[in-house]
Amino acid sequence: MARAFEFPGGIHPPERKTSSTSVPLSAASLPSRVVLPLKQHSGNAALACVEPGQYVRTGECIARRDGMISADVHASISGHVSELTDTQITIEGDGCDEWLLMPVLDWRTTDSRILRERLDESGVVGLGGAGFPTHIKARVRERHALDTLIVNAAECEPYITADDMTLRTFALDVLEGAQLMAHLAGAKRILIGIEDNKPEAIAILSQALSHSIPLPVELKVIATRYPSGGERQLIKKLLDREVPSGGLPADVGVLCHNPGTLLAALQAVRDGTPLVSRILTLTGEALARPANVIARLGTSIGALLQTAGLEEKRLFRLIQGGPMMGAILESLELPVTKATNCLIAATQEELPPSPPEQPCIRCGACEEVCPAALLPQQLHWYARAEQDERLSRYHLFDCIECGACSYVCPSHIPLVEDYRNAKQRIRYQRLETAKAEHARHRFEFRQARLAREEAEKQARREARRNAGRRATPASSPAAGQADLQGLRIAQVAAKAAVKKAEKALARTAQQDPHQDLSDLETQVATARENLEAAEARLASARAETASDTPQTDKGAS
Amino acid sequence: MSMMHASSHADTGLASRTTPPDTARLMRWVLLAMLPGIGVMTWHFGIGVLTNIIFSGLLGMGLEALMLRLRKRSIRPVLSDHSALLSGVLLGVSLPPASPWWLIGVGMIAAVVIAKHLYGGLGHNPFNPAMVGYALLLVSFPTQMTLWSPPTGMGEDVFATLRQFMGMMSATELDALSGATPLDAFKHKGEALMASEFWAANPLPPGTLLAWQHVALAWLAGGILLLYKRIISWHIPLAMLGSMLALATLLYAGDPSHHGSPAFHLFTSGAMLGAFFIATDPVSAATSRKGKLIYGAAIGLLVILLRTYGAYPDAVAFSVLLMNLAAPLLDYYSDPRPLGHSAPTRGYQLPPEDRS
Repeated sequence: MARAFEFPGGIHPPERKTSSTSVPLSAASLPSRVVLPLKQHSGNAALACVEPGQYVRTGECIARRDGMISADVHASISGHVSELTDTQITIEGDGCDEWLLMPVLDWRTTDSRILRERLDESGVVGLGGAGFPTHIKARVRERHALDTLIVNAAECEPYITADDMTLRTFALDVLEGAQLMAHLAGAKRILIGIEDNKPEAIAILSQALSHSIPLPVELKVIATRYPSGGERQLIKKLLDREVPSGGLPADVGVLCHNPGTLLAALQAVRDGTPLVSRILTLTGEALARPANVIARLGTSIGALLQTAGLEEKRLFRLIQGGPMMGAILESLELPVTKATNCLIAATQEELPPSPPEQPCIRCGACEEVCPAALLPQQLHWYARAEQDERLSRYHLFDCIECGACSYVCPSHIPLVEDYRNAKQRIRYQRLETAKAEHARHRFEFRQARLAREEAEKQARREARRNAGRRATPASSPAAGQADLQGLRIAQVAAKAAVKKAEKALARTAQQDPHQDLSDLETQVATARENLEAAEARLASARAETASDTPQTDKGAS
Repeated sequence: MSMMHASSHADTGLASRTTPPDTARLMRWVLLAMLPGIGVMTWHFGIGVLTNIIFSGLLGMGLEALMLRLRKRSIRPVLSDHSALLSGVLLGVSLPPASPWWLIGVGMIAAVVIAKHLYGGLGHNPFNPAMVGYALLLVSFPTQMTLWSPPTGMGEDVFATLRQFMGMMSATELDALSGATPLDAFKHKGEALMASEFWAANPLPPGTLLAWQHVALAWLAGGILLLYKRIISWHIPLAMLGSMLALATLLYAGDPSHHGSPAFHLFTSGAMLGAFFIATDPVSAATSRKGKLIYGAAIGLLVILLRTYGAYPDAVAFSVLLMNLAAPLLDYYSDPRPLGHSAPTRGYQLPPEDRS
C-alpha cells in the first residue's frame, strides 16, 4: 500500500491469539447471581430505578441514564433485586431466565428517530472497551456530514480475539448492524478494517459481503502492526485522512464502530433485546481451556474463569483488556461489564513484572514507534518535571496511550503511566480553574429552571383565563403578532442553544473519555430548561392569539 | 498501562531485531562492537592501547561507584548499566597509547565526576563525558596528547610501555619513542610545502598511514554491527560522515595542494570512531530523527572546518561538544509532524492560537 496510507511508528508485539481461537464461541452458563455496576460506560453513572426485593425479568431496565453521556443498565438475568448500593445492583437469579423483550423493529422501514430511541433504551455502548454510548454516535449526523462507516475489526492488541470470533460466528449480523448504523449516520459506504492475522474471519466476511445491502461494503485487509486499531491510525491507514488534533473522526466524515457494538445494536433493533450479554475472550496461560464466551453482564469474573479451568496457583496477574492498554484487576470477585472485552489470567513467566526503571538515555526508540509521531522522551522529561507549558507544546493530549513507547523503552520507563498521571493532573487543574465558571453554570441552571417553572405556571394561568374570557376584545392584535414573532425567534434560538451545548458535550466526551463532564452536562440541562420555557411561552402566546383571532375577525367585519 | 515489554519476551520474533534491548545490553553491545577496533589498534600500536583501556575502564567504574556513594544512590544497579565502563573505554582508545596514569586519571575525573555525576548522572549529562575528558586533556596537556607511538606492533618492549604508563619515562626518551598522528603531521607541514611534496618526503614512520586506515576500517566494521543490531540509528553516523565527505571533497577539489583528500579525512583520523561510537551517544545528542540528521551533519562540517582552520589537528571532540551545546536547540526546532497536525511545532512554546 502507498506510503501515504501509513500511520507513523507501530510495533510487533507477540500476538498470542491462537490459544483462545481453537474452540468455537459458546455461551457461558447462566449465572445464579449477577452484580451490575451503574457505571459500565463513559460519562455519568446510571440512576437505579428498582427497589430492593423487586422482581425483574431479563432485559428489564434497572437503571436509567443520567444526563446525555450515560447509558441505561438492564437486568441480565431474571430474579429479585437483593442489594442496591450507590454503585451497583445485585440480582439473585431464579434460574428461569424470564425475558422482557422490546417490540421487534425493522430498521429499513422504521423512522430514524425511533431507531435512535431504541439504541438509547437498549443501553448499547461501544464494546471495544471504551464504553462510549452508541446512541450519541448514532446522532452524529445532526452535526456532521458523514460518508464512511468503518467497522474497526483490526483488533491489534495481543491476546484479544473477541472481535475475531464475533466475526467468524456472526458475520452476517455484524454486516447488517453496520448497514443499520450507516443508515442512521447517513454514510454512503462501509469499510471493514481487519488485520491480516485473522484469515478465518476474513474468509467468512468476504463470503458474506455480497449478501450485505444496500450500501457497498469493502473489506480492507491491513498488515498486522500495533496499534492499527487506534481510530486515528485506522482512518489514516484505510482512507489516508488525518483526524485533526483535538477533533473527532466525524470531522473527516468517518464513524468507527467495533463489530461487537454493531451486533449489539442490531440485536437491540431487530430482536428487541437490550444489551445484557457480551462476547469476551478468556485467555492466559493460567487457564486450562482458553476460549471466547458469550457471558451475561454482571457474571463474576472468578466464576467465569473457573469454568475455563483457572489454576489459581499459577495466576500471577489478572488483566482486563489487552496487555498493552488494559488494566490489572485486583480481585476475582469483580463482575463482567460492558467494557470487559478480554480477561487475561497470566502466569509470571508469561507477563513478567517490568524490570526496575533506569534513567532515560534519550535513545529515541520511543519516537520511532509512536503512532502519533510525538516525541515520547520529551514528554517523559516534562511530565516528570510537571512543566505543563512544555507538555502542551509537545502535544501530551494527542497521546493515545497505546503503550508502544513503554514497550520498546530500553530503560523500562513506564512512560504511559507518566503521561496518564500528567493528563490527570492537568485535567484536575482545568477543573479547578473552571470552578467559578462551573458555579455560575449551576446558578444559571437554577435560574433557568425557575424561569421555566414560572413560564409553565403562567401558561396554565393564561389557559384558564383564556377559557373564561372568550368574549374580551384583544388589546392590540398587531402587538400580539409581534409578540408571537419574538417568542418564535426565542424558541428557535433556544433550540439552537441546546444543539450547541449537546454538540460541545458529545465532542468533549469522545475526545477525552476521562474528562469530567458535569459542567457540560449542566450547560446542556440549562439550555434544555430554557428551551422548555420558551416553548411554554410560545404555546401560551399561540393559544392566546388563537383565542383572540375570531374576535379580531369579528371586529373587522 | 503496558504490561508487555520488548526485552522480556522470548517470542518477540521480528520485534527482537527491530527494538533495542535494555540499557545494559545496549551498552554491552557497544563495547562488543569496539573490540575489532581495539584489537587492530593493539596490533599496530602495541599493548599501550590495552593499558589505556584497562586503566581508564576500571577508573571509570571506580569513580562511578564513588560518586554514587557520595550521592547516596544504590551502586550495583547503576554500575551494572556499564555506561561508566563505556566512557572509560572511549577515552582510553582516544588517548595516545601507553598514556601515563595521571593523564588518564585527570581525564576520567573530568569525564565521570564533573561531566556526568555533577550534572545528575546517566541521562542528565548535557555533554559527552569521554569527550569532556579528552578536550580537557587536549587543551591542558598538548604535549602528552600528541605523542602517538609509531605503529611498531606488539613486538615492543613491554617493560618500556609499563614505565611509560607509570609516568617514569623522561621527556627525551618519550620523544624518541613517539611520533605524530598523520593528521597532526599534515596540519603542521607548513604553508610553503605542497601536499604532494609533503607526502613524497615520507614524513611519517613507515606503516603509519596503513595502520590508521586499518584501525578506521575496524571501527567502521564495529559501527556496521551496531547499525545491523539497531543499537544505534543510522542518522547521526551517516550524516556526519556524509557532511565530512562533502566538505572535504569541496575543499580538496578547490585546492588539492593544501587540503587533505576526503579519504585522508575519513580513514586516517578519529572520524570513524567519532561517527559510530562518540557522536551517537544518545544522551547528549539531539533526539528527533530530523534533529539527529542536523546534529550529525553539523559535527561533520565542524570537524573539517576545525581541522582545516583550527589550532588542533583533530577536532572530533570539540565538534561533538559544540553540537552537544546545540542539541537542546535542535530538539526545539526539529519536531516531527504529529498525526492530525498540519505542521510540526517549532520553538519553545505553542503558538498562542494552539493553546487550549
